[in-house]
Amino acid sequence: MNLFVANPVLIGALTTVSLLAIGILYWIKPPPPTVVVSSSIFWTRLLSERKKSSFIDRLRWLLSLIMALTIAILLTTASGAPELFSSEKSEIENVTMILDNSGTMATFTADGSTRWDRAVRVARSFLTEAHPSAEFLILDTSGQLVSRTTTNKWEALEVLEELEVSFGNNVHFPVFTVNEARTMFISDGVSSIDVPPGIEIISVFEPAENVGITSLSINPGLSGLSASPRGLVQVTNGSLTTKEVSIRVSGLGDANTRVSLTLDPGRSGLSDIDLSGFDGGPLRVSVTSVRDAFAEDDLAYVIMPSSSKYTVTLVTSGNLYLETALEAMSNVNLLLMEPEYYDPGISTDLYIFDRFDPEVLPSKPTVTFLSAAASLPQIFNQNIVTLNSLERHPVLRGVTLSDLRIGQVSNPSFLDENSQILWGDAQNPLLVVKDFDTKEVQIGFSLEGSNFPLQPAFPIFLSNSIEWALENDLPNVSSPGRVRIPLANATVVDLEGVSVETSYFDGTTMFLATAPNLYSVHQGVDRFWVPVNLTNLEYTLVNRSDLNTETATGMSLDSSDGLGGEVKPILWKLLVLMALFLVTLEWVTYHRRITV
Amino acid sequence: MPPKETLFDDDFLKKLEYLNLMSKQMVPGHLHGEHRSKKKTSSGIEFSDYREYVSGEDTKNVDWRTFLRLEKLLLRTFEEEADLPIYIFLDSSASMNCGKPSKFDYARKITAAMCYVGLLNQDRVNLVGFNDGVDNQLSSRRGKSQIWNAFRFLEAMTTQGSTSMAQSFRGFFSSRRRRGLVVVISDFLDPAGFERAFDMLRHFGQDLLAVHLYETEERDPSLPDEVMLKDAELGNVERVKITPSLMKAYRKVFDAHSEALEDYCKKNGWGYVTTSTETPFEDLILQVFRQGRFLK
Repeated sequence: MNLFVANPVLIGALTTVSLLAIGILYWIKPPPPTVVVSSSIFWTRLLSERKKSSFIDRLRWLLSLIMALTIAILLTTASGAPELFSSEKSEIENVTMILDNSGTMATFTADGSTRWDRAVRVARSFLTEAHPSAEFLILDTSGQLVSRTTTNKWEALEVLEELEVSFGNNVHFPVFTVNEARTMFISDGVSSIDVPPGIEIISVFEPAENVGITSLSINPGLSGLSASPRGLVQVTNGSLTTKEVSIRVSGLGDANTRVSLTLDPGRSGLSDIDLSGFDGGPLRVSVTSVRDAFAEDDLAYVIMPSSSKYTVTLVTSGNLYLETALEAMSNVNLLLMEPEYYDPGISTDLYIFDRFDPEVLPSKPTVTFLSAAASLPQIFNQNIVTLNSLERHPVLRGVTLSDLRIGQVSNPSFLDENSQILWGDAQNPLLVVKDFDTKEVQIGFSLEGSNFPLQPAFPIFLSNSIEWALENDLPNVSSPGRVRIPLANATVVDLEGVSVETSYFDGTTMFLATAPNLYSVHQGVDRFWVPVNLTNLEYTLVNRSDLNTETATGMSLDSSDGLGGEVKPILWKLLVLMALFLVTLEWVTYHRRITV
Repeated sequence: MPPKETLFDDDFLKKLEYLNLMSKQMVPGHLHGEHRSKKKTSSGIEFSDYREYVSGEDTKNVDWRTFLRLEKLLLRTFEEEADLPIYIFLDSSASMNCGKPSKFDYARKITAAMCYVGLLNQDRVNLVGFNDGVDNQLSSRRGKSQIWNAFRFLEAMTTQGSTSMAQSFRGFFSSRRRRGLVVVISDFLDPAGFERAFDMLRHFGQDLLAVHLYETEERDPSLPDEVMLKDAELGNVERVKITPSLMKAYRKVFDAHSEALEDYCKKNGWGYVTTSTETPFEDLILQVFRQGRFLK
């Protein structure tokens, strides 16, 4: 049998200090109290007779000292959580333990804990009962642990405590060097993770009920085109039973509305909610259903653009596409102006210059369709697929162009140091934005020389450009995880006003959104919202697992497959019990004057 | 102004009256001054014995009727009728100051009570305070009126010094003293022992009544496991580890001391009473009366 302790050096030091303390206490005792007696003649007579029995006194003292020392040694040894292992088993297994900490692991189970809690419990049980000489590598599916160094069981337990569920999209099976170690994967089997063959899978899956928001939008990029703002909320029932779902949208002040749905298992329902009663600004959308086990997808935020109208002055010699598109926008008061009547000082919110290069720029935001200066050597042909992410500029949000053909481009001389080319390059800048004193959108090709006005995305692009230039653009919606904002040195606070740690890289600000929330981003006097929502079908369908409640490898959750020799985890308890017994014995013997 | 606390208050005086009454009931025939002397004299009222006539003696007590019958000259002797003195020795050594109430206060009450009864019996009462010698004394007094002097004397006494009964008895009886009853009220914690001192009393022909006082804590002290014991009289300090067996042995030694005192007194035909300071002093006095030595 071998004895292992968590930290032998610490235990040794602790034992030495305890023994020294006991020794000092025994040798340096405070003087006993003085009692005045009538006469010491009897005592003197007695003591002179008793000198013969001083050996017994020394024995009593020695017995007392031995008991105290034994108690100290037992307690200090027990504090090191010692374990007794049989040395008969020759092979000690090293283990690579991978924990699935994707979002669905936050789903609650019937016993009130989450799947993640169960996973940690299983892992901890394995580690606690493992052979002390075994080496462990703990990894996760969200990339929280980057170290690939093996540790002993106690360090592995500490690493385990650092892990938490991540709601980001970057879920993958970790890459590590495959060795002869036993490899286990503890998961609920919901996330789409490709598990290599030969891995022991331990399931912590348990069916749960969940209804969540899987999509949320407010007519993205079309707010100016519709008659009244509408919110589209897609709700999915991830439960195994039919659910009555209540959707509640609440905005600033007392504005709120409620919609109910009945959803069959695995089905999604789309609610088109009239938002005309809302003034704009942040909206909170929540769904409620009975016994919902996954809360993170029950809440989502969206920013509703302001519903106020603004005046747009179109300076053009005549452009049917532009005039038609602008007149169709319900929130635009269109003012047409011939180039020779151009006045930079009129009362308007925004100017749109169509093939007109004014000598005096207005102090208002502008959208400029530049004159074609040259034909492209070959027809520019490209498909642009929108990506609803922060990397995509708001002007291009929701813009999907297929088979765009551009024949003529303008002179790139309009570019300056404030220009940001969103599309094209320095020789052929097709779309440029400037955000200096006033915002400018410059389109570097002729509408007539392209099929852009015929594209369905043209009015969306035009609306995006106006909204962005007027700083009324829809904020980008992000998912939990690392969020990048195209602003340098911005500060971020969450809905509760708690400041979020940020980092800056290449003119952008990044922060980690651990859970759905509505973040407020500040840069100087500028401020905008960043909703972070977990509107992801992969998370809402919490029962989409290939695993059973039993482990995939047939192992029970509560049993431990020995990872080392025969475990005696109760040794420290025995030591404490022995110490307690000795303390009691010391107390009894002391009061019976057997020990001193 | 609050009344001055006194050892002998009204309650105490009432108890003395009660004790006096009890003394008369317990020894009904005794008369004032009727303590009989062991000395036989030729004068007196109560006949004692005959003895042979020695040439030169007064012939007035020759019993002529016996001479005519036996032809021997025999003299009639009578018991001497005298008021025998009572010597009350009160231990005023430092050891008597221990306990609550102190042994000394208790002893002073006993002394006062015995003095009171003695004076009412028309005995000559001597009060002697002693420690390592005779500390102070109130010379022979008689009559009830002397009780207040006795009270004042007792109240003025203090404890000090160590105990030496032998030296005290030698100092007191070295001057000519009449034979009488010696009452020693003490804890008898004399480093030199009591035997030599008692032998001295026997030598002087004194009768003895030993009143042995102790306090309960003295016999069953509650001491911590380890203690520095300081002698109240000598001031020496002894470090002692207290164990149950040691305490048992201590009690045995203590009891053996009391038994030795009692045996010694019995062997010499003397009286001995022992009590703790928790016993009401009047009970002790009644115990003394029952012994019959103090009241005859």
